[in-house]
Formats: sequence, structure tokens, C-alpha cells
Amino acid sequence: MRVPYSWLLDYIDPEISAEELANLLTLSGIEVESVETFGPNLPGVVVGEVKSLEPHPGRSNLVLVDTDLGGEIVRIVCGAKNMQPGDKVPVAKPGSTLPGGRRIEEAVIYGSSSTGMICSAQELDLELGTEDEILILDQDAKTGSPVDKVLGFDDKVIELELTPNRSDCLSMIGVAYETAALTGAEIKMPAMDPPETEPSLESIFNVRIEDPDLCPRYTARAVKEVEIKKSPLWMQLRLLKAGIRPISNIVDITNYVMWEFGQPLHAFDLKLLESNEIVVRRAEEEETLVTLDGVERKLTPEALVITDGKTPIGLAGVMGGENTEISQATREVLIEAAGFNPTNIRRTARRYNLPSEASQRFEKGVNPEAVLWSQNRAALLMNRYADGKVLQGVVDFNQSPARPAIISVNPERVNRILGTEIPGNDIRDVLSKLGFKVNSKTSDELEVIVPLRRGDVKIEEDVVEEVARLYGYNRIPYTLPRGELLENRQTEEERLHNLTRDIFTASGFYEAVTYSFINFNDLVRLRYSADDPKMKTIPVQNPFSEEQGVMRTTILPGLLRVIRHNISHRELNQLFFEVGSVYETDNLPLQELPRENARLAVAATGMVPEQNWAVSSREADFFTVKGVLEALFSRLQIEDYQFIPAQMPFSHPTRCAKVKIGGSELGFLGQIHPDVAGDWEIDQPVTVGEFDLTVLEKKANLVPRINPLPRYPAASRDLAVVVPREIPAQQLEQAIKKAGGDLVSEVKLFDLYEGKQIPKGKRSLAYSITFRLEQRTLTDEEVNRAQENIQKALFELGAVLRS
Amino acid sequence: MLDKLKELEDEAKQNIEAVKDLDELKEARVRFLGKKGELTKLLRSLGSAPPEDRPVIGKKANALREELERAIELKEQSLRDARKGEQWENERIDVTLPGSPATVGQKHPLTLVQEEIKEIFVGLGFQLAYGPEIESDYYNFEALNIPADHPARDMQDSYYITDQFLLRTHTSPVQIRAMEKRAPKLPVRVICLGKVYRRDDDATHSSMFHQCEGLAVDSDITFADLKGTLHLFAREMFGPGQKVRFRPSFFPFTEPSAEVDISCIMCGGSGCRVCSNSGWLEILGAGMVHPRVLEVSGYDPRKSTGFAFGMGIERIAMLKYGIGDLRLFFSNDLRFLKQFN
Ligand SMILES: [Zn+2]
Repeated sequence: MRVPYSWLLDYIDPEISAEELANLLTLSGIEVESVETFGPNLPGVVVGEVKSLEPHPGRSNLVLVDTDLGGEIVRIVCGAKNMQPGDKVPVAKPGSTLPGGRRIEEAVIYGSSSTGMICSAQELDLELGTEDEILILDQDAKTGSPVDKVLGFDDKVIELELTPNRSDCLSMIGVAYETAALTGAEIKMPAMDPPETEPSLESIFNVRIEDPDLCPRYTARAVKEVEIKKSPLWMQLRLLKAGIRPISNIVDITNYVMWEFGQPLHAFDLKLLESNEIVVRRAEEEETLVTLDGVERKLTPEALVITDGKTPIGLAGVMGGENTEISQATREVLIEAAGFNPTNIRRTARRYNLPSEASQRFEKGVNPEAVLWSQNRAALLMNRYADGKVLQGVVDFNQSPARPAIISVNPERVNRILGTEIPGNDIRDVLSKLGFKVNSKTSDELEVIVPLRRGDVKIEEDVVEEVARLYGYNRIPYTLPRGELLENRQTEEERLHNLTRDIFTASGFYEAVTYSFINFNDLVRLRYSADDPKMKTIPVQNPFSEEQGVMRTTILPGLLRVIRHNISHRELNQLFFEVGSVYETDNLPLQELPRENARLAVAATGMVPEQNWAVSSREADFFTVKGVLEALFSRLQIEDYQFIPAQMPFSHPTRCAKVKIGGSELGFLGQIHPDVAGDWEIDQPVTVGEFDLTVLEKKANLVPRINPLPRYPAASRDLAVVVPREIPAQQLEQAIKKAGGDLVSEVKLFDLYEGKQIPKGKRSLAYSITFRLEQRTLTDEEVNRAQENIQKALFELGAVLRS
Repeated sequence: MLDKLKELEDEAKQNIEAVKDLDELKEARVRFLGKKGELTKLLRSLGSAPPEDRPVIGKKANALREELERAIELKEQSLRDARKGEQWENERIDVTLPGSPATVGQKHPLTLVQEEIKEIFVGLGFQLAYGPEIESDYYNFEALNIPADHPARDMQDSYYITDQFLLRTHTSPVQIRAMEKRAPKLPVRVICLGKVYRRDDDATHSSMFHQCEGLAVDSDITFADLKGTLHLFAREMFGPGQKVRFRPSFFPFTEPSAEVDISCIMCGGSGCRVCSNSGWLEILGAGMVHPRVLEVSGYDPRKSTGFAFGMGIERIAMLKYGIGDLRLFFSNDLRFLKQFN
């Protein structure tokens, strides 16, 4: 809502600047978006009075205009001819510069000298008239005075950003009421007493409402013998400041009055109605209406239409029909001011995609009192500025006259909610400033009668807010809640997620946060087959694009996009993880809330650490991630995990594993198949993994159990064996532990070698084995015997000692 | 005899002084102080001196021995030091070389801010609450006093899954879930952090973002309590000098409602581009829980009151870290993320 400040002064004079008022409004909950000066400065552009017009001797399309600039008379060559002697016009004097940057100089045009330029509105940055139409100023403009002042370019426009409950401030008078409450200044209502002529409209015209639930109020007034012309310049300027394009006097007046009172008005060309009645009803199936924007609308019974008893002439509350539009030929006008069902208007405006100043107001609620004010005000202005004769009376259908809300308010409760000690009298005071009537019902109960314009105030808490905002939110003290303390430690889930983040970040990984929706094709690009559960995605009904088409069932597409993005910025070495939900359901379309389960996803590519002088770096691969996972398992005291060779639809055929804890599947870890990586435009090896954190949570020991320090020394032996390549390391380790029994406390693989000196198809593994007993020191013999047993067990697996 | 002693002294001192390494020093010691050294030789010839001079010469000769011992010791020390110094020089490192890289990653800035927010409110006795991101129309709208066709639904353009389910547009549905879970017991004191979704996507809006919701319900919670809590939060989050400002506003699920500004952290309140010259930055919406919301959640609005607030995590993070572009959060650009290390 744009509020031209000089216009507001018609209804109230708060005796403060626009900026000061804006600040007061903002702090009272009417948020001011901006305070702007309406137009540019126009130095050197003054009011001139046209003295005489003469044809240009050489050019028939030009005229010579003698113009009085207040003391001096100058001759100007001009291309427009819409002015008469005596008209006041804007003249740009030589040396001045127009808003477009055009500089005006003394000139000789086809042999005639020209001292300055007579301007059109558009040349002054004003959206009025046409380019070759001189702006005719009001007669009372003083010759020689600056035009920017005359046009009110220095006026301030306050732009409000209103919350949906404060539709009362979608009107100048509503803002004036608010201003009155904030400053104590008095409201001056505009004149609304049109002179009337016989006969009464009621005697010749009828209004019938067939659906009063959708149209509880309908009023009509008629004005005859109107002359369609431009509205006065001041009205056009005010509409421009409000952001409305001036059209003609009748249409401008309906808009002007809507701005004043917030009540949308519509003007029909009365002579174009096919009968002497207005019938408001639901549209019939297959009925059509060409609206004012020239579009033919197919109607349905859900839409309410205004008809002349035969055909629709308007889409109620949204837009009028072309068939009864005000035109240059209009002589009789029927003014409509009505009240419509907000929900119905909202739906209709949405269905036809026709949000308008009118529908916006009907949707949010209009002051019922303003219906007749607007009728009378518009009629008065049509009498004044269209020379119309106003027929007697208003035809008024009023299904259920509005009653003001009466609310019991307990001053003690007001203070109890706010945490204040505002005296009862001050509460009464604040409410009366707002124009609320306050009666004392009992000693501790007030009866508050809310004016109709404030339809948003319905319950005691609404009144509490009114008191608080006028008392001043910033005068309310700062306290802290007291009361019982609650147990509020973090949940196991939360702590597991934190721990996971800690271990991954400590290992060099960065946390990513990617979108919860993905492109379904991303799953296809991961080679998931149509019947894979991951393909059972929950679709979003109204996405902007395919990119957000479905809810993710895996985090991998998000991470792969991150990898690709960073590679494109030459960040080749990347370690990423994400902790987030995936969305899964068994039933589509969704019948109940889906499962939202937490996953850990990981992606690693490039070299770790980055190439540097100090330590050697190696490619981030399967084992880079496995190491961090093992650190996590260790921290959670999970020992019974397994990496089992497996394949995912998108994985490298021999570099992928399923990860299990006990019998439960935790997830997978593996390198992306080079072809798949290629499809993702990633041309370097990437290892990815995804793990179910709900499974991990069940197996995790968040609080580590601590053993006493060993009391007896350990013995350590190294053992290097050459084994067939197909024997998994895990099997060897298990064999060592089994053969060594209780004596073995730790087994570490410290070297792995394949190549020279080792037969083809075999590899050498070197273990460091720690022997220790809790209760005593081991003897050398015991350790040797254990070592022998271990060797024997390994030999059974086809191992030979490496010399 | 005394002259000879003096001669020996001068020669020995010069000799020791000129020594270049420990071997030469050893030679010098043998030559002057050894069993067959020159000083011994000289003392042996003491018998030829007049008897009255002997004590004096003997004394002087002993003093010279001590003096030379000390000189040799000092020389030895300095030679040893010089040899160590050479070793140190060989072992010198260039301390200006870059360190060997520590592979440290970092949490996402949105996680960092969420952790900080949690810490503040957990310290104030709030419990953590959770709710689904795919939410029913009832919890996301109806129960929060936003019936179908309410203009307030325009404030939040939603992503729908079906007519009944949608991606939650705010964390406020968790208010209802938390109250339903605890009703009719008092107090309720929860915060919920999580992802929310709105159907707009431009430089200042993201289709997915994060919010933090807070709720406190008890027999005597006041608007002043809301002010105190949020004032404390602002100071903990942005620094002790932080001022807050409460402006009346509108949310369907609170009454009275407020929008909360903090004094601009860029300019300190004097006005700049970031705060559009107002000196204030809007950071959250809040209010007293609407009686209808209390009622549908199982509380009697005449016996209990509550406050609720909601804030955008991205907004807080942008202000806290001076981030100008919202889209950076979801780009996961390493050039951005590495700056948090
Ligand atoms: Zn600032």
C-alpha cells in the first residue's frame, strides 16, 4: 500500500514529517517498506502561460508559441498543438536538463528561433498522456514558479508492507486512524454528501442476490448525464503516487475512492445493461465472460458473477466485463459497492490468475461501514468532476448487517500475559485512542467494543496485542521464564550424529549439506534398475523443475554433484560427508507419513593429503574411507563388523563392499564404476559409501567402557608370509587370532607386498603380533609355541614363510 | 729463574691461545704441564736457585700451573662449543617452510551455527524436539490456526506431496507435536532445528533452508519472558553489546506477535547498506502462543500461556560470518567451506 503523504494530510495532520510517521508506524506493527520522494528535481522548468499560437512559417506541423514565464515572454517552437491561449504549461528554459538527460538550449528551428521547450508529462518523468501531448497544468499554477513544486514532486510516498490481518490499512482512512492512535491528532472525514436528483434509483432499478452466502451485501447508485474526460490533474497525480494508472474521470474516481476507504468500487455503463436490474448469482456451466483485459473467461458455478439478469457483466469482486465497460460514449453510470465472501473471491482470483487491488481487499476483508461512505463519496466526485446528476438514494441489499465485536477484557490478565503492570486506566486510554469503546462491566472486567474497520480484533488476546503495541513493545521488561527444570540432554541419535561428524572432520573430511529433493534421472544415471527400492521415490507435486522432482532415497546424487562442482573449480582433492535424511515409503501415493531415516554418505576423490614437500600423498580410495569408518567403529566399540565383497549398480566390479555389523546391513563402500563416473562428468576415481545411521545407533556404545592398564609386559613378534592372492586378509587375521588364542592381544598388518621376488598370483603380508596375558608375564617358550601354532594355521591356508 | 718462569708463562699462554683443535690442545698440555713438560723441568732445576728465592719461585710456579690448567680448560670448552656449533649448523631447519599438512576437515557452517544455537537454549533449559519434514496439512497449517483458504497460506508457498501431505514450510508444526506429547503436563520448553521448504528460489530465498523453533508453555509465561529469552540469545550469539528491538507483527499462531530486530552487526546501528540504513536487522518472528493453538494441543488457554519463536538458521549464519550470498551454503564449494578452518 502506497501512502502519498500530502494526500494523507487531507484526513489528518499529525504535525510530524513523513519519516517520523513512518518510524512510529513501523514500531506499532505497520511495517514501512520505504519512504520515497515522488519525483525528480526539475531545475529550470517553470510554469508558463500560453499567450498566443501562430503557425510556423515553414513547417505546418510546428507552431510558434509566445509564452509568459512570469515577467518575460519568450517564443518557443513546439510540435504539439493540444494547448490553448491561457493554458498553463511546463516550460524548460535554455540551460536546463530534463530527467532523461536531455539538455535544453536556445535553438533555431527551420528558421525560427526557439527559447526553451514546452514539455509533455513524459518528458518530466510522469506516466501521463502521450509523448506528443503537452502537459496542461491546473489553472491556479502560478506563472514562473518551479514546476516540480507545482506537481508535488517533493511529496513523500510511504510504502507499507502490511501483514494479512491489517487490511484496514489498505486505505488512506485506515492509515489515518492508525496515525490518530499514534499521535493523538484528529481525523477529518472527506465530504460524502452528493446533491441528488429525482427519481430515486429504487423506483426504477432492482437488485437481486441469489447467493447471499457469497454476496452478503450489494449496493448500487446511479449517476446520469456524465461527461467522460480526464480527471483533474491533482487526482491523476495522487493516483500516480499511489501506483495507479489514471484512465478517465469515472474510472479514476472509483480507484480514488477505493484508495480512500479500502472499498473496491466498480462502475458499469448503465445504458449497456439489458434490463433494469442487477442479479448476482453463481455462473452457469459453459457460461463465458470477456473481462476488461479482453480475455474470454470460461466460467463455472464456483465463480460468482454480476449479471444484468440475462448475461454476466462482471466477475464478482475480481474484474468487470468488457460488455458494460465505461467508454468515451458513456453517459450513465451504475456504481457498485459490495461485500463478497473472501474465500470465494480468493479462489476465483487464483483460478483465473487475476490478482487485483480489488480482489486483494475482498480476500482480506473490507470495512462494512465503508460501503455507503464509498457510494456517497464516489457519487459526489462524479457530480463534481464528471458533471453528473446523482439519482436519489442507494439500492442496498444487506443480508446480515455487521455488528461490532464485543470483547471482555480483564486488565489483570492483560498484564499477566505481557508481564507488565500497566494501570487499568492506561489500558482504557490506549483503547480509546484506537477508537475502541470501553465500558466497565465490573471492577475488573472491561467491555471493549471494536470498530467495524478492525475486523481482525476478535478475542481478548487480540486486544492484548493492541494494548501492547500502543503501549510500546519496547517498554515491556526483560525477564526469564522460571519454573521446573527439565531433563534436556541430547538424544542418543543426536550424539551419534555429532560423533560421526567429529570423527570425519578430524580425518580431513568436509561436511556437505545438499538438497533433500533430487532429479529422478540421477538414480537412472546411477544405474538403479526400475524395481530397485531406491527407485520408489516420493514425487513432489509442484516442483519448479525436474531437479527437485522427487525426495531423495539416497544422498549420493547430492554428493556427486558437489564433487563435480568442485572439480569444475579445479579443486581436485575432495573428502566429503553428509549426515541427513532419506525419505522412503512402501505405499505410493503417500497414505501416511513416510520413513525419514538418517544416513551417513561419504565421497572421496583426489590425493590425500594434497601434494606437498613434507609427507607423501596417495590417492583417496576405498581404504581412505574404510580407515575413518574403522576409527568410528572403534570409538563406538563395535568389533563385529565385516567388509564383504559386493557390487552396487554403479560400482567398480571388484572394488566394492557391503558393510555389516553382526547380522545387520549397515551400507556399502566402493569405487564408482568409471563409466558411471563418466556419465556424471567426473573423470577421476571417486569412492563413495552410504550407511544407515539408525542401524549404527543400535550397535553403538556411545560411552566407552574402559579396561584397567595391563600389569604385565607384552611380547611382540613379526611374521611375514606369502599367500595366494585370493585369500582375504581378514581370513588370515582370524586364523592368527584363533591359533594364538588368549595370548594374542593385537594383530597389525604392517606391510603388504606384491611384485618382484614374490611368485605371480601371490602376495606377502607382514604382521606384528602382540602377545599378552592379563594375569602374569608370558615366558618365551609360551610365546614361541603360540607363534608356531599360528604359523601352522597359516600354512594350512597355503601360506609359506617369507625369508 | 724468575725471568725463565715469566718467559714460560708468556710462551704457554700464546701457545694455548693459538691452539686450533682438541688434539693440539692435548699436545700443548703435555708440552707445558706433562710429567716431562716444561714447567716440571723448570721446577726440577729449582735446586740451583738461591735458597731464599725458592719459596717465592715455588709459589709462583704453582700459581702458573693452576693458571695454565684453567686456560686449557677454558680453551677446551670453547673448542668443544665450536664443534657443537658446527653440528647445530648442519642440523639447521628452515622454519619458514610450510608445515606438513594436517588433514583437518570442518563441519558445514549451518551445522556450526545450529550447534551454537542448541548450546545456548539447552543451557536455558530447553529440550530438543523433532518432527518430520514431510508433514501433514494438519500440523503444518490447520493446528497452527491457518485453515484452508486463509490468506496467511500465501505467506508461505508450499511444495505439496499429495493434497494431505507437504514439505513442512516451517518448524512450527513441531510446537504442536511437542505439546501433544506432553499435555497436560507443564512446563513445555523445547527447541527444534531442521530443514524446511518453500517454493521460491532466487538470490535471497532458497527452496530448502533451516529453521529453529522455540516454545515455552507454563502456567505463567509472559511476553516479558519472551523478550528476556531472545535478548539473552542475541547477546550469546552476536556479542554482549547486542541490542534487540521488538516490533508488532502478525502470525496466525501467535497473539500478540512480534518481529525481532538486532542492532546491525555491520555498522553497530548507525546505518549501512546491509541494514538499509535503519541500523536494525530482522532476525526472527515470535509471539505468545495463540489460545486456539494451545487448545488443539491439549492445554487450557486460561490456565497456561506460552511463547514461541522461529528463526532462519541461514540468516543467523550470514550475519554471524558476514556471508553475502545465501546460495553459497548449498553449493558446498570447497573454496567457501575451507574458510571455516
Ligand atoms: Zn548497518
